[in-house]
Amino acid sequence: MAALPKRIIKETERLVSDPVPGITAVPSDDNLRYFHVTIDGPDSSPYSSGVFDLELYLPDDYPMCAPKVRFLTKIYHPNIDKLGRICLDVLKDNWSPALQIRTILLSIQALLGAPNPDDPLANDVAEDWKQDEKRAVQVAKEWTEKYAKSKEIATTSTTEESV
Amino acid sequence: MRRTILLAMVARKRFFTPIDQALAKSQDASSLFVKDEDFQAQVAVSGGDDFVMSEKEFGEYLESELGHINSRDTKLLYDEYVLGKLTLKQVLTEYLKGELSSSLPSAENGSSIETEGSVDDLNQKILDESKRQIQLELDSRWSQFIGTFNVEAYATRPMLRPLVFEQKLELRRLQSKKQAESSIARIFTTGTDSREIGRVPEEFNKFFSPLLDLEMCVFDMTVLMTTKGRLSIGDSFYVQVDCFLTNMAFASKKTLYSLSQTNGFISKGSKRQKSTSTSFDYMKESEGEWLLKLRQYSLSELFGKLEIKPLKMHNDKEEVNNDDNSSSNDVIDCDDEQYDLEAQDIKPVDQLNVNQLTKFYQNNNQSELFTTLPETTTPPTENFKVTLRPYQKHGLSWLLTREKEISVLEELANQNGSNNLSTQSRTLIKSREEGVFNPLWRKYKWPKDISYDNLKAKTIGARRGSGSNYFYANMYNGELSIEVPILKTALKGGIIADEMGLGKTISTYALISSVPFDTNISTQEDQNSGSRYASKTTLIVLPMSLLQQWKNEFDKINANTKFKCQIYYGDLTTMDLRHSLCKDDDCSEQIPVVLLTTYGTIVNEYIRYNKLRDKDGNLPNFGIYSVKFFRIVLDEAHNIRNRSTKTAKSVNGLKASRRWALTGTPIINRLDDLYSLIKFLQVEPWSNFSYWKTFITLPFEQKKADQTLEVIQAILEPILLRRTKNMKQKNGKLLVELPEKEVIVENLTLSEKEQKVYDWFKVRASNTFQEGLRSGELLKKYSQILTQILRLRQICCHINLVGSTSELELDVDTNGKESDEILKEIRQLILSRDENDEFKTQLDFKQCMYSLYNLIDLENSECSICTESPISIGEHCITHCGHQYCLSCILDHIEFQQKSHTQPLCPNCRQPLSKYKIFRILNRETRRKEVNFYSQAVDDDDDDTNDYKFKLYLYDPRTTSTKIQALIRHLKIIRQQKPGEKVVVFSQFSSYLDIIESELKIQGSDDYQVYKFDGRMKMNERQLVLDKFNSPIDSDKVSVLLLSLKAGGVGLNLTTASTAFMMDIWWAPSIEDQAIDRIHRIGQDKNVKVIRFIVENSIEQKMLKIQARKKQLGEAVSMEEEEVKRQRRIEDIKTLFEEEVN
Repeated sequence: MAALPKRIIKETERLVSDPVPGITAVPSDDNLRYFHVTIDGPDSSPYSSGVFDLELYLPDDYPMCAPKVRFLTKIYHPNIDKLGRICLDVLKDNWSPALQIRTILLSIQALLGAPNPDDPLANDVAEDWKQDEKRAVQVAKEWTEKYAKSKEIATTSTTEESV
Repeated sequence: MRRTILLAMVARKRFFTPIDQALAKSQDASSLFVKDEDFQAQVAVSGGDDFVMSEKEFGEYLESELGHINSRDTKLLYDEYVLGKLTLKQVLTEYLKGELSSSLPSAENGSSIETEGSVDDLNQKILDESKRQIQLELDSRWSQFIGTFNVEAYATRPMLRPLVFEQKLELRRLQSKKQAESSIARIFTTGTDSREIGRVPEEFNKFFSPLLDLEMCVFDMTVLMTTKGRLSIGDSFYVQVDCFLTNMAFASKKTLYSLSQTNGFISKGSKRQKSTSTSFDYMKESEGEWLLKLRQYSLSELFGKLEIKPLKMHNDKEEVNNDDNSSSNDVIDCDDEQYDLEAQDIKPVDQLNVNQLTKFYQNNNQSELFTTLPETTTPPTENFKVTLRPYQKHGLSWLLTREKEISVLEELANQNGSNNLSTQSRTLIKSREEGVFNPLWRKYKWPKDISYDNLKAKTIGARRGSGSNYFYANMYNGELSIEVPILKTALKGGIIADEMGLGKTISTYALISSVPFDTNISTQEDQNSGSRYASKTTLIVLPMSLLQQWKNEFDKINANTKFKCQIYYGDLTTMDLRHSLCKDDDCSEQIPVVLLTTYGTIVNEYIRYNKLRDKDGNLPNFGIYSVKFFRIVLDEAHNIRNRSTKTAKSVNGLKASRRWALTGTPIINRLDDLYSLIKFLQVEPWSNFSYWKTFITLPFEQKKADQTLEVIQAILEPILLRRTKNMKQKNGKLLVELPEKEVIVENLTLSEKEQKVYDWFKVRASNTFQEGLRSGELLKKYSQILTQILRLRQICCHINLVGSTSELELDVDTNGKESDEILKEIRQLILSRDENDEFKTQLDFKQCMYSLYNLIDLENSECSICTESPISIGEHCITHCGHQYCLSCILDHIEFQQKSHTQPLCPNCRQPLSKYKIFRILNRETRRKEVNFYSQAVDDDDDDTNDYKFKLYLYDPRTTSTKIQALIRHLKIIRQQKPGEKVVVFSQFSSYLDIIESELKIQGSDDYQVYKFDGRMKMNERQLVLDKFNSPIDSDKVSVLLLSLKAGGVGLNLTTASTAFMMDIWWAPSIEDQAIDRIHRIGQDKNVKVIRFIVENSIEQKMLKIQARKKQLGEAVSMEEEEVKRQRRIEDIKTLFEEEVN
């Protein structure tokens, strides 16, 4: 694999030295392009008090193309499917090299606070959300309670998911 | 029976007196021995006997003639007989006359001796002793056939009878009173009526006489043809002369000398010889030396006449080993009547003519001693913490043997348990300690005895020979020896001439760590020399540039905290080395084990102290000269190759008990280069310049190169260690495995513009080719096609290369074939624009540009793509929307977007981007010319932007090239990831190198240090560039060496770099491989990465295929005729185009 560009090193250093509140991103020991990420659910959202695990991978073309990000913790969200994939414009067409890991993670955190069922990825969730937002929020809370409360649970959920 | 009797009758009486006296008068021992010397001398001069009965045979003979005989009498008679004083007949007469019995104590007298008791016992002992000595002398007497030739002799006296076929003649010298005649050998008839009959021609005479006088040779003469009637004076007759070397020829120099004096041989008349002999003026001649020269002259004349040639030196090594086995086969077979004379010609073995310099280093490494040395020797771990490679351990064994530290060697070789010092190497070391084969000597094989008598089997039994199959001769001074001549040497040290990169430094430190101190100091020596002995210090003399490297290396290997490495600058005039290096034991820890200094320092001191030499010419005991070091090591010892330079003189003035010279090139251009090393090492006797000159320089100049080189090889063999990287270890692996080499082909796509131009040329070239193919005149169009192919290759590099008429680097006729019209057309092509993306009017452009000026903050700029901050000046650019990036970043971004068929947007504001609307921010100092490579020229020097430190230029993508962009992209990554890295960029077009140079300079002098090396540079400039490139730099700039494939493809050492870029492709893969080997070679310790830029779907890719095919064919291509080559090339071109057309 190609050597690590200076930008990635710089970004990583900054993520450690000047972390974004409610977000952690730690590179994997054996692959510095692979990050373990946790995002705290935003306070005013059904995901508050939940800690969500994500994985983030920087492709070789980074920063020309966007990082690949995926939820590992099960989450009930119209823009996140059950595989954890995220529907977010800056991760797709609206990516710009001027964006960084931290800005992307902030965007994801913001997405938790503002679900957009009009541009869904998980169609069934989006459907629920549109029909009965209260109930959907309730489910989201339950899921958060169930899967995103602690590391142990989160890990179990991942295992469950993969089963 | 034939016998040569010389002086016998004269000597007989006198000869026996001492023994008589000893027996009869019981004189004291001392007087006996005085006489005895005389006696032995007589024995010695009476040489020339060739057939002697054994004592037993003699006894039997006497008994058969006389019946029972007293055994004591037999013995005495035998002694006389053996000495050649008496013929058998004479012996009998003698006995019968009773002379013997009267002079000898009879059996009856024996009882009276007994009564005298102890005195007689003593006498008996003395007698026995003297007899034993006679016997010893006798045992060593012999003569051996050396050769034969025919001579036309002439009569000096009228003869009564004709000479008869097979008649024996004798060659004699008269001890004439008349000095004028003393150098003439005369031919005598044999028998009782022996009289002089003639002489040999002067050409033979002049070496016959001395050989006869010195008793070195016996000549048997046989008349070959019965003369017609009796001879008159001046008539000629033919004789065969069989030559035999006697033991006298092999007598030691000392004996010889004393002999010549006692004999009173040297007569003034003989000096006639001197004028004809080779004269040596380098020494004042004493009579004895003159004698030796005469001897040398005579011997070499004799050998020349006999066509005796030495065995080749290096063959004989094996022969020596096989001696025991082979000798039985070589036994002379006297009975062979059908002996073929032709076959007996001693063929010169030494006919090989090998490249002299390479020959030099051969054999050294295969030396028997070296191969038997253990490969497990490791320096003590408490001193040395680096692991040596196997061949380095092997080398250390050798170094230790050279220093005669055998016990240390045994101990260190044993550390690992197994692989003890083999007995074989033990014996070899021991024999080596005793001395080495003297290279001035040559080994000869005794020829088969084809003397007349021998062939006719006329003699009873064989002659007594030397008992050896070989003999040795020093043709420089005429010495002969049966024993192997040994040159003793007390030298401790030698030359380490390992090729660069094999670790001479580490070997040296390994040696120092193994034997850091002199353990047996003889205090006496110190006092004598007047200077103190720094028995704990090794002085290493280096060129200044290597000082730090050695220091660092020491820190790396040294494990003993007590060992210190100091640098001696010599600037401390007060610093007395005697105090700092020769302290008493209590503070010996302060003494540095290694003292590093430079040649310059020593020369300075030398100059300073040279004026202060004392009356004996000794340097004063100051500074570095004030002590005698334990060991001196000269690194890059070829620095002293000129013995008359101050450097050489100053180094030779240093005192040390062990001396080492390290150099990868012991000889740079002259043999005398080596002398200086020999002198420094004090290799006796070669360090004497007159000696060296006589035996090396002069013979070499006299075109005796092979012989001289053999001598040098023999001198060097024991003291020189040379390994090359091509040598294999015992396990078959190379001594040094190079680090990995990775060649990456990076495929690039031409930009639109480039592609347009490329296509235009491709069509043209393809047309020419098709036309040629149709008309069958492909060969005629060969150069034209080649030119067009060249154009295509150039476009792949950079459009500007096309039309640059200075491009003469290829074997192609380019003389103005491209008409101006075509060039115009190309320009047109290049200049046509994508209207949409560009500024529509000059006004738009200027408005935009000026509005950007105040947005720019050089110090606080940050590229949001690569996060570089501030953006380096060469890269700094700004989009028309006012956002700053690195140029390569934003271009990458645009390219990436275009590839994925999306409209490129500014990463920051998402406005549409165009590479035609980017402005470069450059220093005002940047040369206008360089700017032009990149950007549209703007004639606006009079604008109001002068307040700014920088200036904006519109970026013009048309003038750059895909490859250069790719290169810069790579360099940028290297700059980021490996600051201080060195990179080599190869191209076959030197004008391309110029373009790259300009571009890199614009990229910023902060990031890249650009060097260029091409065929247009002078030799000294080239060296300067390389030195600069190879020397370490402090900054983290990336050093880029732009290297012309042709000028820099061979020989250079660029191992400081580990990355290479091949900008373009060359027909022959071997040329490219060679270029890559500049960095991937011995000394390279990093993995090597080679990036080859190849434009996709272009001629380059096809060339790559041809290369691959060529590699498969191997180098057979180069063996072919020029015409065949050409044909093959056309085939290549065909494939190029066929694929191209498809």
